[in-house]
Amino acid sequence: MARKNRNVAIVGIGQTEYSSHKEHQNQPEMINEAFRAALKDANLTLDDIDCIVHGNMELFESVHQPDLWHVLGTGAFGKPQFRITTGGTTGTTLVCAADNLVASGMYDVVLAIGFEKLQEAGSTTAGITNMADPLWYRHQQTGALTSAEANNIIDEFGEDRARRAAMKLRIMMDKHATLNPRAHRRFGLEYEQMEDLMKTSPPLVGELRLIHMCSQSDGACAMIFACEEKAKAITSRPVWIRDHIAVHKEETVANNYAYERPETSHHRAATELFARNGITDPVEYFDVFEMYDPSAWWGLDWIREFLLLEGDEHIRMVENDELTIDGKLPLNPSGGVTSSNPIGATAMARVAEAALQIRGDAGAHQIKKEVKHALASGFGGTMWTVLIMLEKDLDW
Amino acid sequence: MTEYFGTNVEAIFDTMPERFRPDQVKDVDVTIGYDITGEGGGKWVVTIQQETLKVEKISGDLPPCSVTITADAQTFIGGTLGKIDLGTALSAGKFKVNGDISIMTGIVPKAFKKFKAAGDEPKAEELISLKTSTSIDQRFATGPHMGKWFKGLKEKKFYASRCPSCGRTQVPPREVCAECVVRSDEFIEIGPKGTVANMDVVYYASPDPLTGKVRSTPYVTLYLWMDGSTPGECLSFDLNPKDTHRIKRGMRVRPVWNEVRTGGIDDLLYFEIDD
Amino acid sequence: MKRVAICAVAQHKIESDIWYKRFQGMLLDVLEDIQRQTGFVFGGEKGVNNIVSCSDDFFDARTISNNGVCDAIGAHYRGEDKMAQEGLNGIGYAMSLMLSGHDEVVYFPAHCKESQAESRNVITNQAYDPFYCRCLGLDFLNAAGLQARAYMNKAKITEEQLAKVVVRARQWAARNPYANETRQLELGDVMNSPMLCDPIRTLHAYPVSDGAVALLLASEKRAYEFTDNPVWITGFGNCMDSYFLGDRDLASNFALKRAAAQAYKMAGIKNPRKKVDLVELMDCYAYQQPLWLEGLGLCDEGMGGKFIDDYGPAQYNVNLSGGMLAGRPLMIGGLYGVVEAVLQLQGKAGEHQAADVNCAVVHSTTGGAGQFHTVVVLER
Repeated sequence: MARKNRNVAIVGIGQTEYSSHKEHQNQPEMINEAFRAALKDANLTLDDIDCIVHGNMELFESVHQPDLWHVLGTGAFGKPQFRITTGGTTGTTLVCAADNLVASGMYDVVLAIGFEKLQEAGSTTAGITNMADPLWYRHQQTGALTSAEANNIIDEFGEDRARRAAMKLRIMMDKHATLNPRAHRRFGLEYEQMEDLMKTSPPLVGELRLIHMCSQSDGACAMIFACEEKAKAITSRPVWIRDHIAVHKEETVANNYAYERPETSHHRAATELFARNGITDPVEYFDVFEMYDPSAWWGLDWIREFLLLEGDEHIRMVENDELTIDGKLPLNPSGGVTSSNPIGATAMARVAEAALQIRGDAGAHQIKKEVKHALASGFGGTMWTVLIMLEKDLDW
Repeated sequence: MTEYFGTNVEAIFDTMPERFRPDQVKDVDVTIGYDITGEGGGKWVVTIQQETLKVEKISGDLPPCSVTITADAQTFIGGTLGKIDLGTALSAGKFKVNGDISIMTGIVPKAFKKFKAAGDEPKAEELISLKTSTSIDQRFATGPHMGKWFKGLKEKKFYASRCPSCGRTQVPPREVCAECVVRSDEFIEIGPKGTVANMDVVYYASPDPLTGKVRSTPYVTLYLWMDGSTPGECLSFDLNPKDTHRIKRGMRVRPVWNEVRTGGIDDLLYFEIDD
Repeated sequence: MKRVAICAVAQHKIESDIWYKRFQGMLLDVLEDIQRQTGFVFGGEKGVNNIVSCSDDFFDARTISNNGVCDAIGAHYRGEDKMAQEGLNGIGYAMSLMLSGHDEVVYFPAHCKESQAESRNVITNQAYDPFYCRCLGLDFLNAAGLQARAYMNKAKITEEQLAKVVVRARQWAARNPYANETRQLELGDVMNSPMLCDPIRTLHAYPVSDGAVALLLASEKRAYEFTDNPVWITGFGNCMDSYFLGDRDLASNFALKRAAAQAYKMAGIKNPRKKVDLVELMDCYAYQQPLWLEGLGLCDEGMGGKFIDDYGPAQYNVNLSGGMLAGRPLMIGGLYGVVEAVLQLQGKAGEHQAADVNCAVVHSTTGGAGQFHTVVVLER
């Protein structure tokens, strides 16, 4: 990989509240709310924005080329604009795209918007099933719902330990969510409820229970990126994008549940990204990890995949409270994706939340220790990963 | 009786007969047990059968029902009135469903007109909800590789394509090996039996985006290692419903074919345990 | 700024109904073509590690439409970003991947079948908001009809002039082995063809088309590893107009002028009429050829009709491929233009080769009545 042409920082962040009742706004209005919030956060006006990047999963809201209608809220009128979509990873792809566009020198200040209005979709799960091959796999796929990974974890660690770890992780994420006023679902769960939930939460597929699974949310996230020179003029707290990587996987999702399991995209992304940045111990290096965790089971498994752990190290991290907001490596202080999932915005919200942590701006869910090095992941498609590294200082 | 949200639990059950819509429950045969706990609670069994309704208050234990709801009175009343989000209550363990959840989400909302507490004023601004279904007919191409697969099904055969570079098989056949990015034009016959590598027991079915149909649950999706294919390749397909409670990972399965085969997905009915 | 080049292009023959192949097969064909030309590999320090793709979820009737073609475009265990606008915008995006330093070589495959859905108009109707415009039945065809009327009034375009555009398109298409509709026409055929969407006649409209395209792009440092004849991307611009048709002056080319200005500025072109040797523009309907030529600054404002009579399109070698009018799928109309322009600049356009081509402009549009435009400048 060649040297980055110039540095890029996040200078503005705007998020709407994530909920399932946004009847008071249409799509362009919802986008506009996040967009204005980002401009206000950066103390910029529309004139300062050189280019806009837009993304979502259009078949959910059933609007073809939605950026055409959404110009009413995106501020792209008369301006350059791109639309890039990669399923669930869209939010992170938009961050990478903004980084590429600014680093390239083509634009100095880029605003990226990710959003979704799942309430306007007939059935989110059916919408996701629609990604499968129409002649064969669409018959089988149940959206993003599967217990195959849970089955593997149970096989490896025993039913009791595995189910407890997944449920503990879920409750931990909810505890973080209760500190985040923007989170969609804040149940107020207590660890004492673990046994009960393990028994009574309705199973969706196998051991994947309703409580484990992410919400279906409406919401928008907007972020402003600027080149180094402008970033330093715009804000005293720019958050630098150090590096990013995207790893996709083949069309046939079922192969992930084959007899011989392939390397996950999460593991491949982490391995390559950390190697080329000289990071040998990610658990030590990072101060926060905003992970795109669509379910507590996947979240549990991917702690091992992303942090390049072995054996039961990830389970022990959960059991020993190392991933709580006060722990060694806080995981999803925002509450993560099981709390809020406005799909087109979700992955971007991971980066936004990680950036807020670096800025010290996250409010009630701010990590107390200084956050200098952040990791954020996006997930989607046929088990794809986008992994992004953020830094407080330009010193790598 | 203790009241919440301006009404009580009794009122909800007492008004069920007048709110019942027999035209919405054709072919429905269910019993729903309600265990409303705490202050203002009680137990009821609601039976819907042959388009008639029976509501019984129960003292003592509830008999086994198609589905049993357990909730405290406040959550139950709030959920019925729409003042409490039942999805949230369900996830938080405040509203428990034991049995076929689709009865609560699919049948009950159609079977009864909405319950309104006496004195419940209609909201000043009611939301207008437009539900439209966009339907755009599609003609999907199989291409020669999927075409070979479907032709094979008609003949009760399974074909895989094989990568000339790494030898990996693709099931169903695909034009290219994803690992090597090389054209895979060689076909081999595989199966017909396979081994269960993993499986999903599906309780929550979502509509098929192509047909709108919802399958009855639970059903099992198998992830199979077909005989003769490489172990990194996996075919997913249905399990014969009769084997739902016997199936385990590692078992051997065999295909069950449709008597009438046209070269489409319906040619293969499901797989069943090969014993 | 360092430069980025297009090293090789490949195109699938455009047909009205490619029922016998699915996308994966079409993309494999164009991939093999590019690999034969350049010898590029996937992965490793020297290979392609990031792919830019282009496809549309509605036309494919598939959520995350790029997931289906992952295998055939080399994206397994690699990065891939899907351009969800017309493909020409992917050129700008791919440029940024390389100019930023993130990548040195990028593979760019794209596909679209207009024949898969029962009606492309039903699809484009979905681009309109569900509350007002969609219920009116607005789609990209009748939006174009409104724009055609506005423009024909402004520039006094006659039926005969529009017919000349179509007849000429077919003449050139006949020399392009990849073109879809090559049936030759007389002026009378076009002028008497049935009204499709007043004032657009059936023969004014581009035929339903299926196709796929692939390109290999590389940074200046690596370009000569893949070709002796790199074509440099010297200018890029795109711009979005407003949404409601009533908010726009449909014959004004507001967005196209801005997109073109950006592209010309980046390319250092002060006078496009002197510099531009060849144009590939996205003329879905005949009236769009003179209209977009005005927007590109190659024809005076409101003078499109006279421009046609004065052989203006011939002077600028406009659409020697047959253009959109001969048939291209909507999502990659601009990318097929890139393929043509690159072949022309490399001297590989065979029977439709123009002389002395050094600077080409490629244009595309997305949305009803040209709401969004993209302009690219390519040079030898």
